[in-house]
Amino acid sequence: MHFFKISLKNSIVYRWSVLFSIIGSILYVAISLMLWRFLYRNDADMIAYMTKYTIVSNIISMFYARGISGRIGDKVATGAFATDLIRPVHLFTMAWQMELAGICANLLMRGLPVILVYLPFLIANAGYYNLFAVFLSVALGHMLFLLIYSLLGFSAFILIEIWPFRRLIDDTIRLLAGGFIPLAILPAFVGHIAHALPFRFLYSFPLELLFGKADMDKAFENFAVLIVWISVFGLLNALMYRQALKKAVVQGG
Amino acid sequence: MQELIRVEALSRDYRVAKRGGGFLKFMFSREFETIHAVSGIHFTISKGELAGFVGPNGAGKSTTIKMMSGILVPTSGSVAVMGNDPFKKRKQNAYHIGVVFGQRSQLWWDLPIGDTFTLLKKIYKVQDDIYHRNVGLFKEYLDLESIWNQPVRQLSLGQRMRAEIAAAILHNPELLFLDEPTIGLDIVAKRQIREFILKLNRDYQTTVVLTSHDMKDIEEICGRIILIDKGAIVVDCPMRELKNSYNKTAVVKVNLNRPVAEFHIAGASGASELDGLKWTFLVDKGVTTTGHLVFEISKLAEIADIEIKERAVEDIIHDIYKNGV
Amino acid sequence: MEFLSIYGSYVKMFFKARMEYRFSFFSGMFANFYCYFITYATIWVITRQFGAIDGWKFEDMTMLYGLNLFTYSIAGVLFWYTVFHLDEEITSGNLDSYLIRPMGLVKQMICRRFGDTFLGQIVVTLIFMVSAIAKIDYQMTAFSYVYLAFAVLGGVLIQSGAMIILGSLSFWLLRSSDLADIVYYDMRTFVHYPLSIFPAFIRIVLTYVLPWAIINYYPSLIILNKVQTTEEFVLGILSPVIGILFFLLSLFVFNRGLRRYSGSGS
Repeated sequence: MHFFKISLKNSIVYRWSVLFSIIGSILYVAISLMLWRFLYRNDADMIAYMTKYTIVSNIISMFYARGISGRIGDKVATGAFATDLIRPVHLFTMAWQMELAGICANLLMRGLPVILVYLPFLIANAGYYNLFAVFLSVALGHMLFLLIYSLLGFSAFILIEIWPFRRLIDDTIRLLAGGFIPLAILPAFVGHIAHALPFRFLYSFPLELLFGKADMDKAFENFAVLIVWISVFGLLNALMYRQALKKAVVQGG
Repeated sequence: MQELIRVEALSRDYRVAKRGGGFLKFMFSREFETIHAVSGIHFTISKGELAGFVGPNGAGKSTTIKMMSGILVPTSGSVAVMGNDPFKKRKQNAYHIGVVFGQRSQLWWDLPIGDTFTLLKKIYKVQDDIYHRNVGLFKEYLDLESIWNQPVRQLSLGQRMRAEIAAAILHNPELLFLDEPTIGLDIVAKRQIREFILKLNRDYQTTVVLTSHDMKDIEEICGRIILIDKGAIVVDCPMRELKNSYNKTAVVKVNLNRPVAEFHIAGASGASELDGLKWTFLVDKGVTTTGHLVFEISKLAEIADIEIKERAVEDIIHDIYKNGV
Repeated sequence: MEFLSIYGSYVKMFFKARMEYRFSFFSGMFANFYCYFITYATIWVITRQFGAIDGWKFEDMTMLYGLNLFTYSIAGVLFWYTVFHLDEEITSGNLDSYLIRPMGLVKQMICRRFGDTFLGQIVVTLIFMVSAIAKIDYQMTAFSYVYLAFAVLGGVLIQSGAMIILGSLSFWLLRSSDLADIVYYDMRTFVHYPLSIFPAFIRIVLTYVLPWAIINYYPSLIILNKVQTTEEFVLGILSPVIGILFFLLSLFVFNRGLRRYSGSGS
């Protein structure tokens, strides 16, 4: 809890930083909105849909914090985390708390302004469904995201420099998770790859649920698959952590 | 003696934002206060001098050095280095000065030392023959041969500092600024560097301006000491003079071969242990000398063992810090 | 110029040292390659779904985006790690070390850290641009190729100028990265797409306030024969000149900032 509070304070310190952060978020959403507005200029329904889709997608992205790969990675790469074993708190939990603080700060600093600025668009043509399922999906998505990036962090003892691999994951998510381009628009073979990967649960799944485009018969099935993915990554994390620990303790960091 | 640096009525102020106050105040308003880092100081440094700047942290030493090396511009007053305004003639003067910042590195982190020197040779336009001569000097007196091909990143602090000094003098500067050059080093490295600096001064008449918190550095290297406190010069005199004027007392400890009950020696007050076998004397140099004390003691007993402690420069400076001049 | 000799020596030494970490070098390059490959793929997906973006086919978009990315990468090789992150150079004390030496500061910073990670972007852009030019070859004349070279030069100067100006902000503000993110990265995202699809004032801002459109939009209009107004033509043709002016402005701003740093005329 301690790390949470400190990180929260640190995130709000620079006043200009805060302002620029807010402007940046609003701008980023605006550009996407203008693009879709143009591309669907002959289809008012699609414009409305893509507008809501883009805004909510941006808000969902704030629940996912990649910082954890760096936080864990730096400590593992240097072997420093072995000394943290003395502490009563696990490295993962510590890093997670710091990330949660970052997420809260982010939601406050950027999420709120984005919602306020784009409120008219969000309210017009209201059509939100399955709210509970959506929250559940985002919460599980947060876990999945966390575990993917913490796995990357723990593998730092092999990779040392993890930023290139973080980029690889970030960019793959960019195209194939449905955050920017809905998966329905992707060409067939690209769409198949996207469906096979776990990333669709980060954006595509909750967004489809939210806007009632999901196949409700398959909903349970999808949640099951999501939980399987989480379990898989959880297991991989445990294994990787054990290996990293072995190396650090044996080699002395 | 040729004058190399002339500083007159030099002052430097900083505007710093005030800290404190609540969250709202922090977000919407800022107050500033002025800090007088250096206030109206005067001094000149001649060619070939070895000058040491000492003072508590925040006294203004680094600020003064930055103004002399052209990094910072004075708020008022003047500084002339080799006849030039060091800020306006920054590039010209750069060929003739070298600077070592003890707490930061100027070297390329990923490149081997040898490569770094090649780059510096090009930047400073050092002639081939001078370059090779200097490199030979470094390899011999600073032990750079063994680490020549290692990237700076892999060096220990001691090795890195030696390389930093070498890098600073590669182009034979007439003037060398050393800002805490021995910080964090072990005694062997410190001695090596001190000797090297003295050699530079002997062989090439390199003028050295040194700041250090290690008084031993100052004591061993500098012929002149300048003490700055709260932006003003408190002491500026030759090292000898400092030692003499503040060194009014000495402590002499003797072990005698047979006990002596009492001593009556003018200018020396003594206390004994072990029933007169061991004596500790406080000598007032205004009245007598340690030599005379030894002579008097020897009249009454043989001295088996003797220890004479002059007040170290460190103690002198410490007292000035605390009590003023 | 002796600066080129120094830079040449430095680059050789840099790679010699870098190659001891081959894995790191190639994985970094690959990550950048992949990142922008995905970007091109995204553009491809969109043009495939919608046919073209306001008449800009995939090859046209490649040219548009390519000009932006290519010029950014070259500027990045020179300036990104040092000048653009001037705040780090200041806090680490490196700036003082540069001031001691008889060489211009910007030049020293170019010779301090070669932006090798940008090579991945250069490679991927060349691949896509060359194949795009091959496809639209019927539109390209000798003039087009010559002009393309100049447009690239102009673009590099503008991107460099941007990095220098935004880095120089560190002389005034403590952390310039947030402002730079918006003004340079977020705003430049507009020029990933043909500006005709946005409201007119966007194009005006990105031409006369932040010159990012001059990097790629107007030159693309000329190369792809899409010019429709005199204004567009002039801005495109003059892009190298505008580049030079902007670059000189950036050096002026840098020197102003340096004077402030040294406390002269603050």
